[in-house]
Amino acid sequence: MTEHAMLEHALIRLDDAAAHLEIDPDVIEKLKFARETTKVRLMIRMDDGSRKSFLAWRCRYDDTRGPTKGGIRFHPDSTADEVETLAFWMTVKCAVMNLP
Amino acid sequence: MQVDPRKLSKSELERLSRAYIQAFAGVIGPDRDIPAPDVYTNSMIMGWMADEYAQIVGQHIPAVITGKPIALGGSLGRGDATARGGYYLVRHLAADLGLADRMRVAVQGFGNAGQHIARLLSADGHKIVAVSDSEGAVFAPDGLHVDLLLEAKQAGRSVVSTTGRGGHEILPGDIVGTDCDLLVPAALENMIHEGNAASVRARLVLELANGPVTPEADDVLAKGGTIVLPDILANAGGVTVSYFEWVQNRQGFYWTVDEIHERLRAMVESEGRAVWEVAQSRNVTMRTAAYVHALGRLAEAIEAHGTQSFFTS
Repeated sequence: MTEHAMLEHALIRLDDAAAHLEIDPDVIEKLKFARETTKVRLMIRMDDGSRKSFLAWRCRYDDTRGPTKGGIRFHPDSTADEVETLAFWMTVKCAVMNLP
Repeated sequence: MQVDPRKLSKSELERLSRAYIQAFAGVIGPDRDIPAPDVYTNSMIMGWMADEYAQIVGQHIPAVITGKPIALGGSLGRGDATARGGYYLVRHLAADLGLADRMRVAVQGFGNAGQHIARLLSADGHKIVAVSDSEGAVFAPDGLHVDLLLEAKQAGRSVVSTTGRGGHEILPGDIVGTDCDLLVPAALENMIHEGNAASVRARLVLELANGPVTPEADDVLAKGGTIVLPDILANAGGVTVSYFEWVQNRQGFYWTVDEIHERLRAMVESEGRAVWEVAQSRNVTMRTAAYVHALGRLAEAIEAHGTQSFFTS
């Protein structure tokens, strides 16, 4: 699996759709990549007094049609790729429903 | 976030939720980026997060996050919104899809979306014949007792714990291959893939999870005549009611649950109908149609900033 395998897999559906429309190449260029992904390491105090750290990401995929939106997932298998893929789906979902 | 929340105490979970907002306070905002619940996060966590944001910016800004508890500015109808959107979609397209009045339904994943879709469909007289969660699956050819399943989950137990009651039996093998009319993947990504797509017997798949069917499986299902109502349409009820919550927070005026349901129904039906028309007129799958429908809107917005042809002419 490459670093962006999941997102690249998800983008297959975008290419399929683009084949049915006369879309300016600028549009696909913009939607192929996440605009901004912030990665942080959160550090908290555990109940036993120890400190433990956790990786977290926040992705703003595309904000052309309005503020970005997206669920916060707490899962041991989460990755940056998954976060960006979910953010891509959210961008498309808001366009399907015509939400800003 | 990379974490197994089941291994944290409640206090640790609160500290971690607040730490998330401390780290991302500059990234999120009611006009910038609006978080919501997803897998293993819930309204209480959203409440902690909204509170942390308010403390950081020194103002009450509930619209920064959605899926909050009602008492903290949450919207009525947010709890079952994902399932309800999918339910309205199936109901609206039932005649076009030639669906039976009494369908046999299998639900993969019994979290928020799975539980609510089982409740909504069984209330309409459909039979829930199989249900799974992370510990296993149960089935009953004459229909599972949804009350028993909900009761088990409420008590923090697996659906498997209902085995032996109400005719519930352990389902051996993959729930994906269950003999049913409607299959509802409501768990995680890539659950229906090249390896099991050919075993799907349902005529219709309602994607309440995000990305449950891989592109390779899509081809197998399409060839077998199974119609897939795609995630970006089928589970959009969640973000739509999150949007309603954001609107209500900003206007400071709150709608009744009937108003929420009615607005959601109207939007699901009109966008669902539009996607259906694209699928018919272009002879493509519902998934491709939904992407075409969305891409048209995204392209219009992106092209409004000017394209190559504008800048070179």
